[in-house]
Amino acid sequence: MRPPRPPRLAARLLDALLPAGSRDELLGDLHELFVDETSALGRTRARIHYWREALLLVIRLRVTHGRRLATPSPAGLRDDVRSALRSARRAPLATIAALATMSAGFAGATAIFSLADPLLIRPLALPHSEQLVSIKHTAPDRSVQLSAPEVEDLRTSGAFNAVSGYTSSTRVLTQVGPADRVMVAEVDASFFTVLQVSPVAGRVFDASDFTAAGPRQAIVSEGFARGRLGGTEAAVGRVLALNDEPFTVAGVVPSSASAYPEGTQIWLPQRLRAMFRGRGMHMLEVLARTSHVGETLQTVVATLGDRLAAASPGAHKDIRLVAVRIQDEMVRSVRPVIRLLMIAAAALVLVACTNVAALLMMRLTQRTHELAIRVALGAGQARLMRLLTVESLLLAGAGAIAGILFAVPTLAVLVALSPAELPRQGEVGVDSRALAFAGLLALASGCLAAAGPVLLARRIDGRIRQDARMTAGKAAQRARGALVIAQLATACCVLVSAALLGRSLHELSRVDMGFEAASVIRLKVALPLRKYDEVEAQTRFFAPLEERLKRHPDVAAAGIGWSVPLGGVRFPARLRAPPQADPPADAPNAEFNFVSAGYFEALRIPVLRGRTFSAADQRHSLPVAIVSESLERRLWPGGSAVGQTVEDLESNQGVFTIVGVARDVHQAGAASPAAAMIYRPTSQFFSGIADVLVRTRTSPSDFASTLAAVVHDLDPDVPAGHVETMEKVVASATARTRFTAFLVGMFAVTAALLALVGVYALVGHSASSRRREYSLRMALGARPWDLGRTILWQGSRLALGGGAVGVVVSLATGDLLRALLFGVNVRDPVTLVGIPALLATAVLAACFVPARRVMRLDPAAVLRDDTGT
Amino acid sequence: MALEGLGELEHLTLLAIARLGPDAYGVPVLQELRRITKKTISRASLYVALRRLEEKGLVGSRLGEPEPIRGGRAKRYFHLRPAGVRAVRAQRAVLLRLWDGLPILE
Repeated sequence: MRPPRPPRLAARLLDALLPAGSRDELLGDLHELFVDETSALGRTRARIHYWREALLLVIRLRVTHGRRLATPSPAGLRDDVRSALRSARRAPLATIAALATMSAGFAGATAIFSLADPLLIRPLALPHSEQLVSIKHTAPDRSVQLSAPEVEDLRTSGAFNAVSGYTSSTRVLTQVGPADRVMVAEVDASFFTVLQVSPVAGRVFDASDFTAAGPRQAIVSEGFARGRLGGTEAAVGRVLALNDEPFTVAGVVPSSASAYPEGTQIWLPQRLRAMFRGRGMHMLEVLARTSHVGETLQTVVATLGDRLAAASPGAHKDIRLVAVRIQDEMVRSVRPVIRLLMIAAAALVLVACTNVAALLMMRLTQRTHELAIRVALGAGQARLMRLLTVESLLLAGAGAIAGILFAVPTLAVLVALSPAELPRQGEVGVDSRALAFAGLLALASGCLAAAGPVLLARRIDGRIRQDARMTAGKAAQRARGALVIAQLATACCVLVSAALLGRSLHELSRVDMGFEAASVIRLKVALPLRKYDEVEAQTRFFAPLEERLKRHPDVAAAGIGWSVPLGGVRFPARLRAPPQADPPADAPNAEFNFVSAGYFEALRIPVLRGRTFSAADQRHSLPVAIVSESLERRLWPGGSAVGQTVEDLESNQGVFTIVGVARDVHQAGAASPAAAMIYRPTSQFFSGIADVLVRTRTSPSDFASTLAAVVHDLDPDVPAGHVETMEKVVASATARTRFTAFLVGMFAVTAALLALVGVYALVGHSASSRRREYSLRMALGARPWDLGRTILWQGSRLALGGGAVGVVVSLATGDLLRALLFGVNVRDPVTLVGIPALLATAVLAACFVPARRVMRLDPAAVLRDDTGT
Repeated sequence: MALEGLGELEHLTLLAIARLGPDAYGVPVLQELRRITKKTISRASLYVALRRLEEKGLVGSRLGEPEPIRGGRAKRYFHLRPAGVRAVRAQRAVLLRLWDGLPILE
């Protein structure tokens, strides 16, 4: 007679719900009692008793004593770990592949997290930095600072806890150590109140510092005081010179004050000259502290904006007052980059998880028989699931450790490659936050990778069958196919992004900038004010300098310019071309540059009509200017600018006569339109600082020392600063796009390789597990190519699925990328077709190896070997 | 006091394990208790009692081999630890002292 079996449902219930450590003995006891009772009391009574006991057990142990008894036994966990290690050893190659995938994913993700953390997440070092906002007028095409009366209006409005107007600039530091450039802010009395920073030595500014008489005071950062002035206490009372003007150090503030404007090391009391105090003199950056947030803040600021606009009737009509949290303002330009990189890194981690999941599933398929036996012997499904999860977590954990080790050099490379505009670079590092992130990521991805295999394992029951391998195998095969498609789709998306960025870079490099950067070097000079304080003195230095340089045999051309294209400095101009009446609402936005005649030659900017500047343009001769084509078109549509006059409305330069028209130059980078430029001769405007530009006949970098020597020779008091080639200046203008394209490209290639590994593993495994079938078919007359085609077809289906999903996702998420592209559409058809096609080719190539192996099968040998198994 | 916390079922279980000797696993212990007390004791109560005794250090246990009659599951054998022996002895002494001088009830 068949031995009686206890009710299956009750047994399964117990299996799932009883604490692992005592499941066996309890089920065993119940089973034994059941067998006894069946013979003593009959089957039905025994079943009822079994059910009653089962429910009582569950209630007593799980509900009443649950917390005490349910803790997993450490011994069981140790077993799981041991078993996981054993199975890792059994398939070393697959394990190494999974580990490598995981560590590549984690290294990328951790490095990107470390980069993004200070930018997007961690607050600035200033107290309550979330309350700090920067306030500006913004028009659709630009933003404008505020004027002193406007700052006063904001201060008295009561909407802010404190308001400060300041200006920020770079100056040449002398008298304390070697000459250097430092970031300086000229601030009003409430600046440090807004920052909530108090001095560590000395004092901050008081009202007396802002009166015109007396020696000027400076406040320096703690870092600067330690580095340059021999400590915080010693710094107070020291004298330093900025652009040759002496300042006495009055106090030292903590280095956290350098967080905004970022890099500021010295603060000076602001003394606006009377001419800059007008309501129309928009010179001041505004930093305010407010307890308003979000909508309320914007409403308050918009109301104030209307009030300010009412007070200055000449203002642009489409200008608005806007407040931006300083942390947001600092990262605005890099936010889309960081966001894209985070997504790319997440995609990489996802692909890595998928590979681990696929590995576990493959092992699961191979072990179906073994696992079925375990279940039959009472292992319990919960136990199986735990085993798989432990395995997956161990892989993820090991991957995370390796990933963190790799993250340190990866991050170093990232920072080295990153564009200079990336804010808060000093705070970037693999720190405890990054470690915590990697830990969490490992946990999450371990669980994620385990999810698939665990779901599959639920299909395994205690029935041990010859065909167990096949049923579980089919489900696993289908699941793995889906995973591989997901991998390919992810890789496809990242590849599309990378390709679009690469094409943008190409388009950027093809833009005709309007000048030639090759063979040009630039040297920044700042004239010491005590010797050079007006135009004629400036000309006494610039003219002979240009002359000497031009005579040098290695020099093809030399010139002087207040700014250079892509140099990042702008001198905005508001112009009126008489006989026009003053139309302030749409006065053209232009930019001034103050240049010598050689400037156009050195940069090869052709002067198309009229003449260039000459030695005859002197301080007291006719004030002249050269305009760019775009400015000519705007001010004199259809006519010629040469001989016309134009009036400067903002910086008191008066009226100039246009003597020439120069070609347009992309002043702010290839991605921005050519700027409307108005060039004035250095001999007619005092600027004090300038870039010396030299076009050399030999390698430009070899000429750097000669250039510095010529400057020094002419006047040793003029500090000759940093020399760089214009090519480098041009390159740094596209640094952000290059950085993004490079990184996304790296992620894309890695993700694609990982996905191909996934394809190869899946197709290869399915080919080898069907060897017997293929051999049979071959023996029955199938040609090798028919079999090879089956395998390639399997690959093509994966590639098609992955490519289709990838393209759809790329189309849906294109907005994330749009801000970073130039000259190429997010929905660029060439990329959206080309990339999936490329990926499909690679997939077919990966399938070719197993296909060839199948085509070369020797059916007789296979069938002979496999007989009886 | 040494006997504090030793419940009735725990006391009985200790004695049943002592009576069964090396053969004391769940099923015989339960049957012994049912036989002697003539009450239906649920497997769950017994199990909880056994775990408590183990936690208190009064009994020890070891896993046996899985057997087909039990659906391929292992048995857990229980035995008295010295503290368990002391506990039943003390309990007995207390009960004997209490019975002393109460002949009417016998």
